[in-house]
Order: sequence, then C-alpha cells, then structure tokens
Amino acid sequence: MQKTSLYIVYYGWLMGCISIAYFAGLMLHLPLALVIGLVLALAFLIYKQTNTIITSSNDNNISVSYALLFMGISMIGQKVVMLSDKYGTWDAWAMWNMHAKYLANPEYWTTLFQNKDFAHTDYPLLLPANIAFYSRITGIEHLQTVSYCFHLLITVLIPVLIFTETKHRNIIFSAIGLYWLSTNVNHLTISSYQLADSLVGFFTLLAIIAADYIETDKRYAAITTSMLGLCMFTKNEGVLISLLFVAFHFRTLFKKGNFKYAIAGIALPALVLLIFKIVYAPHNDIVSAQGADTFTKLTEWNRYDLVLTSFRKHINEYYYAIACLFALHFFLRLLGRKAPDKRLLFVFTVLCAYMVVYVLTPKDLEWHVNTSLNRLVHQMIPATIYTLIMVYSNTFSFRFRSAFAQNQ
Amino acid sequence: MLLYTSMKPAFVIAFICAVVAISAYYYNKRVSTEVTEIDLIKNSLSGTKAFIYSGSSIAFTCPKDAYQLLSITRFVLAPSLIEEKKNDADTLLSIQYSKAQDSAITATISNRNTIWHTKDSLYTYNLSIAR
Repeated sequence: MQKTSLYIVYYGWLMGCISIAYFAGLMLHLPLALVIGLVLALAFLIYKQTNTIITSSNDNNISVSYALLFMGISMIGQKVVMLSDKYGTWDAWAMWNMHAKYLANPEYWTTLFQNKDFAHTDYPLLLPANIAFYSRITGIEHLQTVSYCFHLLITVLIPVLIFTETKHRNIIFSAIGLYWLSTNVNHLTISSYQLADSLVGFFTLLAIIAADYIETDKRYAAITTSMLGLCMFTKNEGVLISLLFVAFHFRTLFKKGNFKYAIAGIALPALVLLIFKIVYAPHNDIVSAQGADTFTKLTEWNRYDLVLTSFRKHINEYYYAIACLFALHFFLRLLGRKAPDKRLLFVFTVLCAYMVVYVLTPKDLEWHVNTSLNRLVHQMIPATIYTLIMVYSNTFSFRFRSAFAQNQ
Repeated sequence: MLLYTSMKPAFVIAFICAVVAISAYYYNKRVSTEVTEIDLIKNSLSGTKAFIYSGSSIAFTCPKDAYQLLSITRFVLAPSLIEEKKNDADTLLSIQYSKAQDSAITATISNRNTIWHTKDSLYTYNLSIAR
C-alpha cells in the first residue's frame, strides 16, 4: 500500500475511533472532553501499532500525478457545492442527520430508539456518531456544515485512494478512473445526498485494497478486517458485505499467522455493533418480517423479474461503460477457461445478494427498488472502478510485455 | 530526477483540506439565503420551545398525503419524541395545509385545549392538550 493510502486508512480508523468512543461516552455518561481524550488515546495506540507497516513507494512523474490529482479533487469540491441540497436528500434529514441530532444530546439520546415509524433507528451509529461528535465541538447549529464536510471528504478520498493505488500500474487507466469519479454527475449527486452509502463504498474499497497487500505484511489482515468491521458499524448492508468478503478471502484471512491479526482488526467494531444491536436497536424490518411467506417470495419469478429489470435499466442508464468492461473481463476469462478476478466476482456476488434481499422485502417491492437501488449500486462503484483499473492494467501490461518479448 | 519520485502524503492531505474548506465556505454561502420547506417549518415551530422540551413525548397528526411532515418535524424538534397520534394522546402537535384544512384534524383539535398555534405560507400549526 502507498504511504498516502495508509494515511487514508488512518482517517478510516479515526472515524471508527470517534464513533466507538462517542457511543461509549453516551452509554457511560462521559463528558465530551473525556471522549476526545479517549479518541486521541485510541488513535495513538493504533498509530503506534501500524506506523512501521510496510508501504510501497513507486516513482512516477510526480508533476503529472499531482496535476491530475489536484484537478480531480478541485472538480469534486466545485461540483458537490452545486449538487448538494441544503439538508441533503430525504433519508439524510429523516434518518442520518436526525439520528445525529439525537446523539448530539447526551441526556436524551436514547429517545431516538423510541421513534417507531419511518425513522430506521436500527441503523448502526458510525455516521451519526461522527456528525454528532463534530457538531458538539463546533456547535449543534453547524450540524449541516459538519455533515457536508464529512461527506465531501469521503467523496474526495475515494478517487484519491484509487488513483494513488493504481497510478503506477497504468497512469492512463488511473487518470480515466479519476476523471470519471470526479465528473460523473450521477455519482457525485448520490455522494452529495449526505447518506451512508459512500461511506460503505469507502470501507469496502479499503478492505479490498488492504487484502491485496496481506502477503507483504500480516498487519494488512488487521486493516482489512477492521475496515469490514467499520463497514458493519456504518450500515446493515455492511454485515452482508463483510460476510461475503470473508467467504471470498477466507484462506488468506484465516491462514495461520494472519488469523490473530484478522480477529484483532474486527473485534472492537464487531463488539460495539453487538452491544448496539442487543441493547438499543429495534429489530430490522426486513429480518423481522421473514416467516411463512419467505419461501413463497423466493419462488415468485415476477419478483426477480422486477428487480432484474430495474437493475438492468439503472446500469444501462448510468454505468454502461463500466458494465461493458465488467462483462468483457468475465467473457475473456471464461474464454480462456480461467476464473474471473476474485474482486470483481465479489462485487457481482454482493449485487446478487442485494437482489435476493429485494425479493424478500416486506415493503412494496417496486417502491423499495425505486427508492434505494441507485444507492446500493453506488456502494459498489469505488471497488468496481479500482478492480477494473487493476485488472485491465495487468491485462494490457501482460500483452505489451508479451508482444515486446516476441519482437526481441 | 526530482520529478520522478513518489507523492508526498502531506501535500495531498493539505490540498484535500483546502478544497474541503473552500467548498464548505461556498456551500454555506449558497444555502444561507435558501429557504426550504424544512426552514419554513423550523421557523414556525421555533415558537413551541416554551412547551416542547428535549426528551418530551408529543403525539403528531397531519394530512395523509403530507407524510413528509412527520419526518421533518422529528428532524426539527429532535431530541424530543414525535410519534404518530394514538387515541390517548396527551400533548398533540398538528400540522395541516393553510389553504385546505383537514376536517378530521380540525375536529380533533376542537375537542382539545389549544396552548399554541401559528400559521405560515404553507401550513397551520396547532399544539393542544387533552381536556
């Protein structure tokens, strides 16, 4: 992993430390100053354990890299200003920022969980706890600005991370990825909704990148699983993503020697999530609604048809090029009788799992798909773009080297 | 060669911070003059501060087609508990369209003691307690 990427991992951990310490502070009635002290102590502890981690350093034309990166970051900063609504989208003020407002009040924060309808108080606390934490420091009247800055930072960090990790493989592909993430209006619009989906995408991307480096340093196993843990503490879908990720990387993560690092990484966020789910959170509506009709839903073909049609329409409209590159890779691999790239297969499996969740939904299926599909696909976009750049960089450099060798 | 070296994280972090700060400044500048439905309701409900405290439990009713009002009210009055009206509501906050009064809501309010009410360009607000 590049040094810059490791600093982005530190930021991921900082978000985790803040949410965990803030949640502990609320539960134990700790004053904010003590919570800040706890955050700093946790962050210092993590830094001490990981500052000697092996990072790679690839020499590139630095002026080109800086120019591309700074241009990309600037474009995002400028575009998001125009695309952001004052209070974000519906789910931002009806759920995430509303949850943050409750959490910002240390005396009555548990009132949040008494809200029954349309409040989704079973959602984990990483995002609202961070916004509440910063809002209490800056003043609750600045909650919207805090939320804006928080989400903008995540929107910026995703392309920075992808560019930093891929530029030495193929600067052209890397630049195309950066350009797409910095200018795609649909992607930036969803990012500026002030929801947790970009954050889920960010943690999934970090987990995928860190998993690529486990062979170089065992501590990357801890980074991988801690990002999965934070993903679980961000949104309920995070649990599904983490389970599938572990299934795909089971051998690497639980290999002798890596096992203890993998457990160390996920232990704290998983424990905090467990406390939250057992003590405070109400039942998840989708999970608690399952019963006798679950099998009936699973065997109704028209439900699959509706979900598939919506997926196809959405992807054709907004992600056509990405879908073509995705499909081309699968086609070429199958033609060569090789297994497709594990990371792309993981993304594909997550999307299939989302489809099954839709099929099982107790809500009106059409309404549910229409109101959330774009955000679920958005969660997988960072990981997809990173993997596509890596996959095609490898393919092209291999072909280039082969052609060069033949001409020697 | 100096040009061929790896990127310095400090430069990248500093640039990201600068962009976020500038962007936040322009976002604030843009939205400070913007009045949304949430702002309208927030301004109107600011008069309830004397009656609705943090953590207090309030029943809520609004026209059936204005289902966004419950979520907006929750957002505005957090950390108070705003729940959809049950039959035994003690304190009731009702919001209805100013131009098309809901007969069921009006009938409910008329059987209760109004402790506060106000009106804006979109809605009429009423806070009442059981007789």
